[in-house]
Amino acid sequence: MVFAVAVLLAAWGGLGLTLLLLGRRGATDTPGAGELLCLSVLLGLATVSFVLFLAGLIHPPAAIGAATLTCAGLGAWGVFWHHPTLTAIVVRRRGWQDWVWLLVALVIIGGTTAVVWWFSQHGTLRFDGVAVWEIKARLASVHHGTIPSGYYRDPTRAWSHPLYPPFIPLIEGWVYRWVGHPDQQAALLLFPLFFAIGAGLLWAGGRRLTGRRLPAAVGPLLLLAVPLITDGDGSASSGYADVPIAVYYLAAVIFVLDHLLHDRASSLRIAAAIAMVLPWVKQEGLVLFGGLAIVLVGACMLRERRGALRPRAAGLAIASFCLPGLFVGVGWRVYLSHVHAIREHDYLPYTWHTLSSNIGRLPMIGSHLFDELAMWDRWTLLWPWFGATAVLWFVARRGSALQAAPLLVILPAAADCGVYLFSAWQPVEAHIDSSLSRLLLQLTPVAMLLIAMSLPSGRRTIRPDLRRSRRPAHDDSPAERADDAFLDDTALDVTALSDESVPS
Amino acid sequence: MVAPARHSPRWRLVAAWVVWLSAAVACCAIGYRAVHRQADRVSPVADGRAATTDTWLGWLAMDHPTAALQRAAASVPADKAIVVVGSTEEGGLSLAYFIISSLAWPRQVSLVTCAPDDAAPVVVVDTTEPIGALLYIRLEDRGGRSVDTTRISPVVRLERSNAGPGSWCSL
Repeated sequence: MVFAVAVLLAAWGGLGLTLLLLGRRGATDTPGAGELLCLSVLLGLATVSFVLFLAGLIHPPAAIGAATLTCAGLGAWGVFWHHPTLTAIVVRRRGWQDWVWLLVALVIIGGTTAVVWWFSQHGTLRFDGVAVWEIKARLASVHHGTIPSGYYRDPTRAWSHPLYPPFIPLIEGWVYRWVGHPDQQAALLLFPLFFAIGAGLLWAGGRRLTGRRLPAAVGPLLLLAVPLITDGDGSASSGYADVPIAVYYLAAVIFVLDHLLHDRASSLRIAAAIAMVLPWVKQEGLVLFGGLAIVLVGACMLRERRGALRPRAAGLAIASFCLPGLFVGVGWRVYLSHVHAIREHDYLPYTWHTLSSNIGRLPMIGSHLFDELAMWDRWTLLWPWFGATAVLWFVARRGSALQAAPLLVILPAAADCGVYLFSAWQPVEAHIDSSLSRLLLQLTPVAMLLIAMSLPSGRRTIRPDLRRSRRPAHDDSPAERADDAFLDDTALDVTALSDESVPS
Repeated sequence: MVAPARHSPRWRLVAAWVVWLSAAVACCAIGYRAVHRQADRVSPVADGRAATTDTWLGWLAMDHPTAALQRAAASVPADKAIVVVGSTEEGGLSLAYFIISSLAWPRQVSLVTCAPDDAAPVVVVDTTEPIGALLYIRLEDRGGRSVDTTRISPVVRLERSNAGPGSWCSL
């Protein structure tokens, strides 16, 4: 009960923030109620962790009060300021089909979440869940919700990775403070919640990006089919940060793709707000954030070259997306330096010399990667299926706004593997075996989204509301026409490779 | 505002659907079966707010080990370090050390192992604070036998002592 109060209070703050980020929206691009709920929880928990951390820097005893007041105030501000948007979302006119699909969504998302919840309640936190995250949450719970700076300097606690960002411990500490004491069962409840949000976002993202309901329904069902998500190190029942970061990444990807597809400024704002949380959840968040930034920058530059986007607008879009995340990533490093955090020795210096001397590891890393991707008891058929989807996607969507979407999985995976070139572990195979599956887990929901979006569709409906308003009328290049085709039909028809993707 | 829909050739659409649906069914069949097997493998865990750590520390033979060890650690002055001493052959020692360390804040917690028939301690994690207590795990025949000793369980004892490394593993 108290757990629910802690989460709902955070979600209330997140609701206000989401409404403020959405701004005043038209009827065509207003999110659904479920999507709004998912965003509210994600942004609310992020707000709580940021406020706890910042208040802890200034006056730790006021941290919990500051987070509570921020959530209450932010929620009230957003709801008061944008209540017409909220009203439009909640009291949207729905037909019987909408109600049927709502029921289907509740059954699928509720059912899949119940399975993960069952695993969390019949298991325990796994090793990292205790030794990396829960230890800091305990500290936070006895220090007004913040982690004391002395912890980062303590040489006897270096094994707990003090350099890892504090998002998970701070929200666990938030729950502990509300519950009144450290409670590992309450901490375990947070992770099925993230799974539910991931399933909800797969539904909402599939609907948002394809305009169809079937891909939306397929995503959450496929998500549960990945055994590593339900049980094992990194799973949604383990207390690891991998599922939360995967869900934040999924949300950021959905809104970046929505921005690229529909040119919605509000989607870019939401994407930026969520993407800035990535480096705050885990160190690998910087890799995910970088992958997103590369795809966004590439798309903006391409559109600017085609004349579909003014250089200033492209620069603004790139800056507004990249700067918040960079600020968080750099800010965390500055803080660690400020408190003289002890150094970890998992990685060698990131130098050209290290790279050149370890380049011989590449075949071994590649071999481990392929072995991992083929582990059916962890991944079922996910990765072969995603590989086939990515190839077809690149071919069938040549020149479209979302052509580069599979790179959002491929680029971070490649970067994650490349990092092993700098691993200081001996043997490095042990490092790969202990972490590669979890790194891939972070990309799983996005891979699922792209697979669901590739559900074949024979229909190509013209939807004027989805067209970009700023595209110059004189531009009639083949690539722009391909974008038009893509806007007309955001679903991949795997049979329509060459003749329909670029209509004459 | 919706223009007439165009259709792909029916056979291509059907073929695409068959391929996609086959992949989905195979994916779900393999995945759900594996999840079902995972559920069969779930083993019983302890109840309560410290369910995880109590389960992990079950081998220390005490009721509510998390709370018991937290109480024991709290009896040591906050500016003194605790040394966890265990056997090199004890598989669960590292895990126990991590948990004890998380419970003992703000005290530093060091880890020392003793090899069989060898009085020389191996310092795995060293401390920078003065020693306040030694926590022996399944090492009944080792240590300086301080007078101020608290027995936490049949296999765990806390010796309040500032003895140096020479006596930690003494036979």
